[in-house]
Amino acid sequence: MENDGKYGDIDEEAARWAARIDRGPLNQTEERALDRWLSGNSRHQGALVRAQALLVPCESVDRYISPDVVSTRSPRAKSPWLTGLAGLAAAFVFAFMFLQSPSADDAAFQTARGEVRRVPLEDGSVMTLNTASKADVDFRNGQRSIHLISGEGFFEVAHDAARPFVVSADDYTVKAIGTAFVVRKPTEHSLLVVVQEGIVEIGRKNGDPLRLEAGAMAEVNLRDLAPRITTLDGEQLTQELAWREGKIALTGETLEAAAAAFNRYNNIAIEVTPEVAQREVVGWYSANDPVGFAKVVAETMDVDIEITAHGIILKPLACSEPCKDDRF
Amino acid sequence: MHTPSGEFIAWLARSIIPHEPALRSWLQKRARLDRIGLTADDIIQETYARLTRLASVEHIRDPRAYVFRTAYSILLQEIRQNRVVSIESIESLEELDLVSQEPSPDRVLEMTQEMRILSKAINSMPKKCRIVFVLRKVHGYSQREIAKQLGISENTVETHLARGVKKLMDFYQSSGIEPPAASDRLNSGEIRNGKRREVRGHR
Repeated sequence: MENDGKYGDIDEEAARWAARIDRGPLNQTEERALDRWLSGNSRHQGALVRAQALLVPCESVDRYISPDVVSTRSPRAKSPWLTGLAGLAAAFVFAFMFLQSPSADDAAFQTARGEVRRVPLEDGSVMTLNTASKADVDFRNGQRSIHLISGEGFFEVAHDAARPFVVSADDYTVKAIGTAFVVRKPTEHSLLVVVQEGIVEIGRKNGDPLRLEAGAMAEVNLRDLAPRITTLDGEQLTQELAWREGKIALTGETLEAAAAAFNRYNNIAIEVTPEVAQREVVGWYSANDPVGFAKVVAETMDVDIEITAHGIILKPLACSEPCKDDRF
Repeated sequence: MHTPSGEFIAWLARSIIPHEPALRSWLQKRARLDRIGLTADDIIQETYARLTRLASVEHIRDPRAYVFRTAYSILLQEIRQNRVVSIESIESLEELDLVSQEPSPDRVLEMTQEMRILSKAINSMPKKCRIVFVLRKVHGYSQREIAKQLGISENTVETHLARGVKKLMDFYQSSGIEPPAASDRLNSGEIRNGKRREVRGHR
């Protein structure tokens, strides 16, 4: 760029001001300094609005994904709509069953891989099942009992002091009176509970109950006695609950962990080679779009992407010396 | 000093920025700017400044034609003020009309071009700057959220972001020189990525 020497500094100053304005309101001193700079030359104003326009966030991450990828996929339903529709369908199914038979308040719900399903329950509570999950709902005999067989559920509980809302998984029960919380079975023998609102009580067959307040996350290994309790801030809480909107939120997880998160939702598996497995990823992605995720990673992290019949491989950029792994 | 509104900036981002590479190559090709001691950048900065002075942009039906016309009138004005250049060197307005009234390239092509510039710029940024820039530009997090998430100060975020925007400005600046993006449409996506990275890896 031959103009760098002459006008590079206008752009540089414009970029600095654009970033400053993007951060938040200017104080008086800054405003005076900006006015001084702008009145110096009408081109300064032009350079500034141009810098500001270039800083405007993309309309969505989808814009960042090449159109050809979008078109080869089945129609990309927006996740909230998808979830909403699935929820509506579930409500219909439920109502139909309820009308049909008195035992409709005893039902099993299941989601396929990649599906997030919102199930309104007859008491006004809502159960949202995450990908590849299975739960039995039993509201007979004045109880509100849900058995999480596998996967993960988010429960928004309608207040009813007379009927405690109990989610059980293996030997544990998670009891709530009016609250919202997540129960997840990461593996066969562990349980993870995140409380968004209110208080829940985790009970074990043998052992004292454990009380968790809003913002708390407890990880219990079913073989092990001591639960691991952490307090989440708002950001982390949002991250834990991102799946309800069909999103995966990453805040510096390793590429390996991020790939595992996507693989929970999709049949297109992401594989990560050891060389790049420990790179850290940030961002907010559609859970059902592993290709989009891989492309953003490839574009922003100097990682190469290979799409095979079986899935996606993320690997280092073409090696400067011959690659040891002859798969590539 | 008149402060441009957020809507105006968003309008620029949506309706003007996508045409900047085309405008730039048009300016560079025809306008013998060097003979009047100007660069395409001068005209483009002045064009943005003039757009900012508009009371409203609602009446602009065809932003592409409008921005070409604005740039052209600035160019004419500069040439008239600079008497050294004879009147023959001024391109005719009709020719401008031809260029600016061509239907805009389809949106997909434009997006591909925008994304190409963006991803090139992102790839050229140092690591921390790149993370901050991607979180703001691609994911739309606020500077405060980014600072909190990455555990760095807001000042640091602002500095990285300023550096990132400057990089993007530079890449737009050189965008006019590149050949038209028509061939990219064929090679976009995985193949393009693979090729480009291979080339870079072996360099």
